[in-house]
Amino acid sequence: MVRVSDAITTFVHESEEDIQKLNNALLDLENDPDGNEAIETVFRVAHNLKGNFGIMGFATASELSHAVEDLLDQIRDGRLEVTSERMDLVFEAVDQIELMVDEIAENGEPTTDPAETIESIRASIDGESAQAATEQPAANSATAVDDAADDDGRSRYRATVDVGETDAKRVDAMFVLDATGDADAFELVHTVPDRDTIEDGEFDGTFDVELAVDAADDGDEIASFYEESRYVESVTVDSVADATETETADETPAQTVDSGVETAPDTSSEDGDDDSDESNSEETSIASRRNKEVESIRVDVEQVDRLYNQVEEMVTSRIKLRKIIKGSGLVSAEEELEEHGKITSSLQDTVLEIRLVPLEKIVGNFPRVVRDLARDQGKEIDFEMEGVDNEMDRSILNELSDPLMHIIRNAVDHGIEPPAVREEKGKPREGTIRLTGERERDRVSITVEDDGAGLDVERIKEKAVEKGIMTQEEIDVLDESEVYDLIFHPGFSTRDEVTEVSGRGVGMDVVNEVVRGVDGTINVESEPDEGTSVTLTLPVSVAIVRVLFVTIGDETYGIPIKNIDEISELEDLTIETIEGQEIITHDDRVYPLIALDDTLDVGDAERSDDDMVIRIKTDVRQVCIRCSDVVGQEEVVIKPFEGILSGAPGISGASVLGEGEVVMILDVETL
Amino acid sequence: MVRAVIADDSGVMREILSEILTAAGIDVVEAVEDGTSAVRAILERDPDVATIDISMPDKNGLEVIEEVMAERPTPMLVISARANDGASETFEALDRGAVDFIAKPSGQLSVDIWSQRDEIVEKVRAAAAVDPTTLTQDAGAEPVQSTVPADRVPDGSTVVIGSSTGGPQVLERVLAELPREAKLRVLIVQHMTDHYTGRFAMRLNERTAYECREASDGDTVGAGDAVVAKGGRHLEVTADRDGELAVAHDDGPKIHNVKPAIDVTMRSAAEAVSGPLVGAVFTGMGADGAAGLSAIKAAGGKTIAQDEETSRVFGMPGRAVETGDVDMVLPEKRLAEGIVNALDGWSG
Repeated sequence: MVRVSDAITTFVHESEEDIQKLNNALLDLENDPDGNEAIETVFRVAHNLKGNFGIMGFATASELSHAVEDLLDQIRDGRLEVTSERMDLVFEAVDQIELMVDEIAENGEPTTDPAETIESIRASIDGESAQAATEQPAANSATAVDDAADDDGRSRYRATVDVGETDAKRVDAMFVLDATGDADAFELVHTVPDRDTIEDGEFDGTFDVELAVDAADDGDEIASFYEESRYVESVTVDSVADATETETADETPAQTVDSGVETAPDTSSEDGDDDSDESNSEETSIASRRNKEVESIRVDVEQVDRLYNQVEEMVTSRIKLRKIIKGSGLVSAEEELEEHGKITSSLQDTVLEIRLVPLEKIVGNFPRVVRDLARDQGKEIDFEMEGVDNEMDRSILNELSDPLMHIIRNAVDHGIEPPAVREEKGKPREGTIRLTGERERDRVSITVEDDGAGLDVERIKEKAVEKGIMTQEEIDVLDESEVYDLIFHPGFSTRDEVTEVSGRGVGMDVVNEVVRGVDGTINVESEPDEGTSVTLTLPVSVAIVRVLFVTIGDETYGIPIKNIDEISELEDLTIETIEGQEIITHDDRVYPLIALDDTLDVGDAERSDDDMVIRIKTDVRQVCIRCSDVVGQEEVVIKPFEGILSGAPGISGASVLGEGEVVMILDVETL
Repeated sequence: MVRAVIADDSGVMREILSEILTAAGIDVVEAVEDGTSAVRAILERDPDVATIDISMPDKNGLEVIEEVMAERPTPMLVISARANDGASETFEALDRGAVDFIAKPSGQLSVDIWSQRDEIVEKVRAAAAVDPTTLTQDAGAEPVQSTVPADRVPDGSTVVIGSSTGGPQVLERVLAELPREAKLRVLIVQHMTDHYTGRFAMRLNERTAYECREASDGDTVGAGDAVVAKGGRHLEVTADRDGELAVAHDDGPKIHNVKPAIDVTMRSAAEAVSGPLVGAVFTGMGADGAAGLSAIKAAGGKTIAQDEETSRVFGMPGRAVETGDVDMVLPEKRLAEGIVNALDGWSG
């Protein structure tokens, strides 16, 4: 069945893409309900999803997406309006579809039962008529409204039972409820007022019973069931067309009042609260759903062909080399080696290029996340993304997903103010968050800016002192941008407020570490009441870097050559000491001298006059580094550290040399 | 080796179809995801057959079929989604020149497309066997009325017609050309998936003078009625009384790998029908109908087969002709006339 699993892989990838497209097109639709393009996209994508579920034989998922498609069809034809509640329902369904695709990816088949969601959608589709039916119930008759029964095999009915306003109503009601509980044909879902209230006799002789029945049953059976009971004076049975809407009773008070039960509104609004709590936690979980790593990339056939040709050349070259070496023609061997090197590096370029994926791959679901968060917090936010087609290396992008999410989340949580506050400040009610990707040569910058409250400098200072990061005296002399940098300090973030974002506790310090780990930088700008902007600047490609190898004692380290301005012998330089710090002056600039043996704690390094001094470029860091010797240079692939070693100051990663020797690469910025 | 082009905007469908066809030894020369590429690929690659999805970006399947048919007729199969307007779009595609269709699993049942692989391969092979020159013949020709006065057709006459690939258009034409006044009782067996046979019957009903419907179990077929065998069930004639044929569904095994099978209906008709009886087999792949015609012949009925020239696939009619039991071999536009002539002055 290898063949089937291949198809499943394609299916999962295509569905994931479809889901993201669907989410974003739905957001467009919500923002502009009359947008034809959005609804057409939404519709086509939903149709494709449904078709693919069908082809693969995933019946339940197909039904769910079919229901979504039908609802969208009604919207497209203008028979249903785009309301927030309806969109919530669609989004909920899309989330469930996503969950089912995940399950398929994991287990080969979905385990989630979407019956309830399908029912809610179907109910929303014929919501109008169902509501009308519940508003004017005919006494003693069972109104069976055609609802979602066909789809999920269960449908819900509400029986309004009148046992008469007598002294025995309490006992009568209990008999009725017990009989209901014993009945095989239906399942008692809940009562209004709740059962305790009924058993205490605190009702006026009428109560509602909500029942779940098999599709085959209809309201008539329920009606006759109660009519046959000698305790029941009269009964009205209605189909509960929209279970969800009824339970979140806030918008549809008419449905609960119609029973005429005095206590009903109270109890049901209690119900409603419970449910909305539930749905809140559900929304939070939506916002925190895991960020997927980019697991597949699409490759141009041309690139693959080029790759193949290069590999072929390499094979040929290897054969040539072997022949030459056999014949001991070492001069030609060197020439061929040169050729080999050229091929290798073009091969490298090709592969690196193939690994590039657009930023969109990881930020594609952000609009949806912002929307959910904003709705959750009662904020109005316009989220825009630009330049997300800029490409970066897959491994870098994968690292960035959580940090970016955290930055966005910060902008929503702490940046954008509630609408009322914004109005007070004279700003538009709706806040704006913009994510912009820009490519400049071999770097890509990603900026997240908001027009919110801005960073509170005083609060940051207070907190830094509170957390013991700095003393009040130290804080007082910092300028604003230095204060902003404090938020990257480990221990500054309050982890508890962020854990739910990614499920593994990301604070700005971690964001900073991750960004540095991929050879990137991070910059924060802020203006009170005007907003905050966070910019990540990152390499387009993984670090294949030319490094200079230096030794200190017996140890060898690498320093990226792009960071180096000049290498000198110690004896040619003048070293002065100011306040216990050795310094070197060059071009009227003062460079503190860092001795590697001290910094890296290399005990057995003997200092001598023929030590070397490496001057770092001033735009990187204005320092000089003292080491024992300089032993050559090489192009290497730097692997950033992960886990326990990540963020170790002074070290950006390690590189494996040809002989399997591991060399640490120095991060001169944090050394 | 059969060469095929696949056009579908679903990557999953492209992959699965490619796998199924490749495994069956069909060479998938290109798989494309939009309408423009579909037209380009078909014209460039000149495949034996192409599968065309209806819903595709920039140019839908119907437009693709139309363009290809205008440029260089190529046998095309429509990939049909059952939901919503799937069936009507499918017939629209057949009108425009598609030779057959493949129904996508709807997802209503937990049936995936792999369970249809044999059927798909068979349909693709059948479509590939279609002679492209037959695709454009007589397109949109006016119905030709029989020269034989309808009143010379005896009452209680029965016609059983079987057809397969390329059959719906021929059936529609023949039924339209059969005079209503002849008050025939018509049984149609078209190899077609369930769910579509009902729609096909409705179409025939709208477009011909005959009262046409999908046959139900226990149905009776009176004078001037035409029934189409329901997909997934064999149709049997159980009795002929008071001028009406009683029919029943038979859920037995597939015969010739199809259900409904023409042979079942024809054999049972040969046995049960008491009045004048004509059997006809139209275009299609395979051997279904040949034994049925022989049975009708043996029971004293008349037999007709569509000729090679006008048959999109001269499989079933060819096999029938080989039995030696076929009375007339006729081109498409003379089939209705032939049926009426066969019944002319029936002596029985």
